[in-house]
Amino acid sequence: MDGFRIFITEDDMLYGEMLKYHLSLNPDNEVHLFRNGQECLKNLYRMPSLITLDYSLPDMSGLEVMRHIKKENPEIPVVIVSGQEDVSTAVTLLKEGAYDYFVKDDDVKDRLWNIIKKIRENLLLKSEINKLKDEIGRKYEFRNVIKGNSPAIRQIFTLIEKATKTNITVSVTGETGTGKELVAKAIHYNSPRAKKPFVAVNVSAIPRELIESEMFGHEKGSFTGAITRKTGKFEQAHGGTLFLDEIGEMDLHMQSKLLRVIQERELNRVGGNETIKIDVRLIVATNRNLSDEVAKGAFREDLYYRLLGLPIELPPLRYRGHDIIILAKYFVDGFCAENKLRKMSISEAAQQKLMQYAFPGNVRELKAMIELAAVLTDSDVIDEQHISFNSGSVATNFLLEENTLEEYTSKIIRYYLDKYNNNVVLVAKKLDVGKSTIYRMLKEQRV
Amino acid sequence: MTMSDEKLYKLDKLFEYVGDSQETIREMVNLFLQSADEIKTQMMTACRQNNPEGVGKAAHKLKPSLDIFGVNNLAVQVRLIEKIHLDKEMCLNLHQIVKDFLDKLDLVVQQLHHDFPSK
Repeated sequence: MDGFRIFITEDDMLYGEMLKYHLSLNPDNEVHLFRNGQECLKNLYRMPSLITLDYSLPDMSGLEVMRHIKKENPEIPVVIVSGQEDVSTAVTLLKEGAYDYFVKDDDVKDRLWNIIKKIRENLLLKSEINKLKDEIGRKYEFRNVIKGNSPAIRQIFTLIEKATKTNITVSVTGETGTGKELVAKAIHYNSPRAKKPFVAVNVSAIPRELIESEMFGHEKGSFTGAITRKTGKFEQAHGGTLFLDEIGEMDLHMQSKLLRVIQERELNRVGGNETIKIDVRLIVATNRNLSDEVAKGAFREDLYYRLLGLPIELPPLRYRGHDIIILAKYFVDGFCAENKLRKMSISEAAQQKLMQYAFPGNVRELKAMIELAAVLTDSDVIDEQHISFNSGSVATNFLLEENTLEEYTSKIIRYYLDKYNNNVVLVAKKLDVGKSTIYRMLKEQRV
Repeated sequence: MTMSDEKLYKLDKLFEYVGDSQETIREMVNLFLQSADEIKTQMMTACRQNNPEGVGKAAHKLKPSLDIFGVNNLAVQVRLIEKIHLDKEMCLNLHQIVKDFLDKLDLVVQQLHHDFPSK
């Protein structure tokens, strides 16, 4: 940590000089003495770590100086060191945000050293927290966590990048296991809100009767069992991002409450009268088709349009072609590192087997499958026999989609193009069709 | 007014703050003398203007310095004068109380001048 800068604001020159001399005995302390409030305020740009204020200054009262300081930078701890032995003055100052208040008596120096120690510890903790937040930010740098190079995923990168630059609500859709929460985190940790909280709520996991209190908090005694005041997820996410997963599971009553909070940007805790302003960026996710839910009357249309914001539709893994292999290698590397195993490779046959599977559980399923394969193999190579599918045959999975013949044709060609790096000649040969058929379909954007 | 043989101040507290470096102690003594002189003037002016609140303010400002310099025979008196405006009976004797206080302060100042002569 850098030096600890202390401002002493004291018009009693003897007392001020004596404190300055005393606190400078620790060479880590950089102590500055000011004789009045204005001088202290003029120097706030030097970002002191602590300010001591005499209550009776020649140009303004300690309370006025403190109010200015708090307006400029509420984080700076202000300690009042005063000759006033009046309890009500002390209470007023403490209520207004003074870190501490003490009278100029024999204990002043010990109390100051204790306060400095506490503030230094707090600053160290804050700096540790900031370092950790930076690390999390780097961890969630989206190209580090969302692996792949397919056109579908490159499009997602573009959208994520756009989402990080504004506060627009983002709605992430996609099948289970496609990485909706990962996308939400990537947006949060790459946005200006990165140092503020990311709060994730799985709406479907909260019992209906508790959801309002979970989201908006409650006051003590507002219902049986509310033994203390509790802040809700919105308040916890203040300044940061609130991720509402499975938003499609929210009941209509709660939807109307959520709509009000989003529109007004303020809330009342359950059983409370106080209106609390909130500044929260919303990211919602669902694996349901919300417009269908609106049509069915299960989702409010006004809320749907409020939440739609920037839609990001995550592609199923089966449409991401070679990304399957990129992800498989990423997961096997991660698993080996985490478990201190030797680096492993995936055989060509195992890769072929992976490429032929539909992955109904998407990336989550692939990860579990690869980790199991890494455990099953006795060598440094994961081979096809180590890959076990959980969801029936490849053909069954494919047919389960219930597409039209043309859609199947299109998907088959897309699949082969991804698999063989858009080599039309090779794909035509593999599928035993003319290459002009494929070119025509591409030209007509049917693939 | 003659200089007392008895030590009217104790520097133990000051040592606790600034250590025993003669140079620093001398610097602090000079600041005390300077501030005592300024406050004496303020107190006398307020007294002449029959302004007990002004007298109290000056006393309030001097209080911590007297504590640090261990001027115990003025510790109680300075606190009484600090709140003199709240006591009508004392206000009637304002001039006498202030004179008495400043006389005693002068003795302390003389003693400090003697013990820490200017170089």
